[in-house]
Amino acid sequence: MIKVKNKKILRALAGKAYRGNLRQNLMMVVSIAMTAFLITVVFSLGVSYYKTVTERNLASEGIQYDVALPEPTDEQIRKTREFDGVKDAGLSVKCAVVDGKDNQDRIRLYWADEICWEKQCQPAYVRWEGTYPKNENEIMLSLQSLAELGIEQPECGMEIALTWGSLAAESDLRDCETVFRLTGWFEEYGNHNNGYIAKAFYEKTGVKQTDMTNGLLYISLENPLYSSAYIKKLGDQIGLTGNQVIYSDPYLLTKFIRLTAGLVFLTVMTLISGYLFVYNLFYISVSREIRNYGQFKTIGMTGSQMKTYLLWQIGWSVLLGAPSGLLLGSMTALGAVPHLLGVFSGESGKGQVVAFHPMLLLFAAIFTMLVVWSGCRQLLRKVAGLTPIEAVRFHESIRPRRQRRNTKEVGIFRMALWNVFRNRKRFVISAASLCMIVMVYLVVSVVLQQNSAKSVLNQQYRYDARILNSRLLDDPEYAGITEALAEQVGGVDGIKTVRRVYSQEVQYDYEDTYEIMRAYLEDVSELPMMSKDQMKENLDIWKNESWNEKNGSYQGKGRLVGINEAEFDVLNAQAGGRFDKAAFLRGEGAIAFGFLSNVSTKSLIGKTLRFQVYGQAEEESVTVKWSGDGVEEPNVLPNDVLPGMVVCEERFRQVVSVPIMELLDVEYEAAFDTAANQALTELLENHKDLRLSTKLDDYERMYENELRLRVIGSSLCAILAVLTFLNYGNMMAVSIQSRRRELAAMRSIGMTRRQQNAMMAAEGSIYAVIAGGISLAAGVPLSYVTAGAVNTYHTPYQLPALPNLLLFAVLFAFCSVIPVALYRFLHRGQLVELLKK
Amino acid sequence: MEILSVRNLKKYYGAGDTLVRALDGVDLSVEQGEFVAVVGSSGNGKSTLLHMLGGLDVPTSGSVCVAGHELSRLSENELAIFRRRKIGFVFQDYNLLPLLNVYENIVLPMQLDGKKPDREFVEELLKRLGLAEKQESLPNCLSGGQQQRVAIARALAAKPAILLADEPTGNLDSRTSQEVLGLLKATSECYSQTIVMITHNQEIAQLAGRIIRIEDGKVYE
Ligand SMILES: Nc1ncnc2c1ncn2[C@@H]1O[C@H](COP(=O)(O)OP(=O)(O)OP(=O)(O)O)[C@@H](O)[C@H]1O
Ligand SMILES: [Mg+2]
Repeated sequence: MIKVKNKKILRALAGKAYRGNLRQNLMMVVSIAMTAFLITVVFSLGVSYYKTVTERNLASEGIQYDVALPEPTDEQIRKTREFDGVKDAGLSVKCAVVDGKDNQDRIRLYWADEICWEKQCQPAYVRWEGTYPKNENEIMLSLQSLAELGIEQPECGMEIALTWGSLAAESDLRDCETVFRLTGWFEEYGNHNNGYIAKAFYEKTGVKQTDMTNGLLYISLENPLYSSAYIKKLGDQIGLTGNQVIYSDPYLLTKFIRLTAGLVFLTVMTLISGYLFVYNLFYISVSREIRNYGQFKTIGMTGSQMKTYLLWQIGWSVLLGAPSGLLLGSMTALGAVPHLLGVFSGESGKGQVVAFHPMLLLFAAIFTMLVVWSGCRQLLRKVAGLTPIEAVRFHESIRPRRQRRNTKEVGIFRMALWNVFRNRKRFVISAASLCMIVMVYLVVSVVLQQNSAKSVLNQQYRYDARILNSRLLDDPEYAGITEALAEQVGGVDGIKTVRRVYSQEVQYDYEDTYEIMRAYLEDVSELPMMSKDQMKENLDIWKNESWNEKNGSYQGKGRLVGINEAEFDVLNAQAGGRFDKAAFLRGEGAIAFGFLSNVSTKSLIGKTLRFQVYGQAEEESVTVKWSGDGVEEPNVLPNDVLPGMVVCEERFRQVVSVPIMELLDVEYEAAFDTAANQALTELLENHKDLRLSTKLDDYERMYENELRLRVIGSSLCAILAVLTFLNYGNMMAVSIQSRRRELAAMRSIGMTRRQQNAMMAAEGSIYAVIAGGISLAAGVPLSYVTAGAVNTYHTPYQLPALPNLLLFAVLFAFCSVIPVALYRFLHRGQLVELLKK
Repeated sequence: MEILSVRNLKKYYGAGDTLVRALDGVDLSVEQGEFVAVVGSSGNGKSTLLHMLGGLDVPTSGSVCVAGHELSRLSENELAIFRRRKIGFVFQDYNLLPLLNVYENIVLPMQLDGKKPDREFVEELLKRLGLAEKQESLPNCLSGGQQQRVAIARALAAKPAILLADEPTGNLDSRTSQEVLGLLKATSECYSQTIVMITHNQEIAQLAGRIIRIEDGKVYE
């Protein structure tokens, strides 16, 4: 009886205290809501992505599997099923198509073996009814295809007349008419015009499982997050033939790891900041009320009653904050998560599966509670254990330093410094939350910079558009880019320069070159991917096989590249101007480029290389005058391991009787000029044999991704900024209020308000400097690591200077202005009043 | 020379039924170098008057003129500067800064004014107040009486023209009280300081050159 009454009283007391401290408690509610919100979003992000990965083929193909093998032989199927880690391997053969009415899509008829039907088709359906066809004239159809046939209410056993044709290459089964008996139907997630028929029917069509594009072995793996190494092993084991490849996503695991790392980072950040905010707020409200607690204690409240009293108050905040955060989080998850996923996976947000599950909410709720609990736990215990006297003495004015000698100067700055460190724990937490936002901003800004389409493109492209004669790979004599075309391109409005690059495969002279290139070749054989034995073997072949004996491939392959003046200027700029322009243009020498730009060609400087052009009898030679080390090669067609020689256009023409242009690099008057881009694209419409890639087109493709990143990054920063703002402002407000008498006392002995303003600003600046310093020290490496983890475009790490200078300026201003403003606002009234207890 | 002059000073608190006339038409004039004791029973407005003299509170009406400055004409900043240059204030409840140690508390007003404290003088004060050993201590570690003596030292350290002391010996035993009073008198003579001191102790009041009695917000000599 008494106990019940006790509880009521405690609750009433707690309610009174809660209402009395509404501002503080409202902030607590907001913090908890934000924490719950962030946790919900981050969790649903993770689950959605996992679903997207594991069920990726569900919607698109209506079958649940991980990788697939086209045109499998029975032997391969057997080996696949025996392979470690393969859960199910089901065979499906597309064997006939049903003519659709008018323009409608045609229904494809498949035969699926038992494993495929039971393990891979059934789980992929929304629902299904009936049995798999057994007899030749039996059929099973998707609701979608039934609807196409005009059947809205399918019933098992009903008869359907269809006109079909076999997919076997040489079959004469065309326009066959058969009355099928419907043995079942199914509803899929996606819309496909599919139907299944019996094995007997499949055999009748004459289609083989090994026919191109018809047979497919669907493979479900124990571990849906397979690595490319695993797939390669599987391929080796079953023995892939000819053009056979296993359909799989080689980057699946990397992408997954990258996303997981990103999510773990976000989760940790969220949990830590949630903890910081809850702890700080709770600490502030406890230290504010601590005298009351002392009084409660003196009048006989026990420790556990004290706890209950406080728990009521925390409970109300949770009750108000958590559900609103969870609700907001779920709404965001449903709306924004698909886009978030696109960023992490590098795919467009459209085809993503959005996972939303009540369990997810439960988890988010539990985590929110955990955060709140860990934020309050320590203080609860401390308060419960306080003796009345301790509670009364729970004072903040402990000076955080040892007794010093000789320092007798007390400036405003020094007092500010002591004030900041008065309460170390509170300092640590407030500074930590400031660090958090600064660090997140730093990371976000680096990632944004890295993904800024323009900067990526400007950095990676040394042209605005490139016209590539890509057929040269197969046909070395294909003159796709004519002089006339080059002229035409140069005449397009808005195009500034056209840089021509000619290239010609040559064979180096063995005897001579082997001696001259010795040092170079040694460097090549040191490369990790080279095998010394292999190289030696190749050299032997080279020695014994002359040019004329070549049959498609030959040794001693090199490349002679001719460039015009404009291209030379670009190279020379990259080389820091170390090439002699006049000499180069006179044709006096070549720039030598090493294999994969990895091998230095310095050893070749001054040497004369002899070579022969295929189809030309006489031997030619050029002298290497400069090394192209550190400069990007002008041509893109691959060289063999031997060096490439770049000469001027005139010299190239002297050597090669039929000069072939490999590519044109086009520079616009203004980068990203849409009109010029459009004109060029139109011009190239008639040259389908050439590959046009423009910076602007790539920019447009990348821009969507950039935009999404920007939105997410700024929302994340905004949420954290709000939390930090609340947290820091609140901490300062409480600090000023708890120092009311002290501040008044200072003024009474002659400290002016101006001096106090300066002291407040100094306190804030100290926070800013410390938080800024720490976050710079920790944030730069962190941003480096994060940037490396999500580096889609392989751009070098770069800390954007301007946004971060701005950040530190804002941090400084924010930190120092807030306390001054709060001091003005809170420290008002007559001195005598402020001096009162 | 008149250093303090108060004309028809009123300070009312509250309104209507709860109106408290803490000061109700006080006229007072103090010459430079005078040692004035203010007596009166508790709640009669002694502290209120002292606060008015120190520019810590704003009167309801009337004027306070200190060392030629009409206080109501000074801005907040000017008042603060005026206080640290001209006035030493000993509060009834000390108002020491918990963050600063004894020495720092004492020299703070001078440092706020950008002046170098007279170190020898401060050490002399500390010695005479029996605080020489406590220079490095924080106020929280001191007894009530010790804190009171620190407050006195702080008020005297800048050698102010006027010393306003609200029961400076309230927490001291009679022997220490006598010593502190001796110190006050000595320094005031040495630097021709004016002292206005509130006290409940008749014996101490007798040491003053002039005694003022406050009753119901009015002054009687
Ligand atoms: N802020 C205030 N609001 C209302 N009344 C006040 C306020 N400050 C002082 N008073 C009243 O003014 C009167 C004078 O107060 P004051 O502090 O001057 O008394 P005192 O003479 O110093 O008393 P003591 O000897 O106890 O220190 C008292 O009745 C007090 O209740
Ligand atoms: Mg008093």
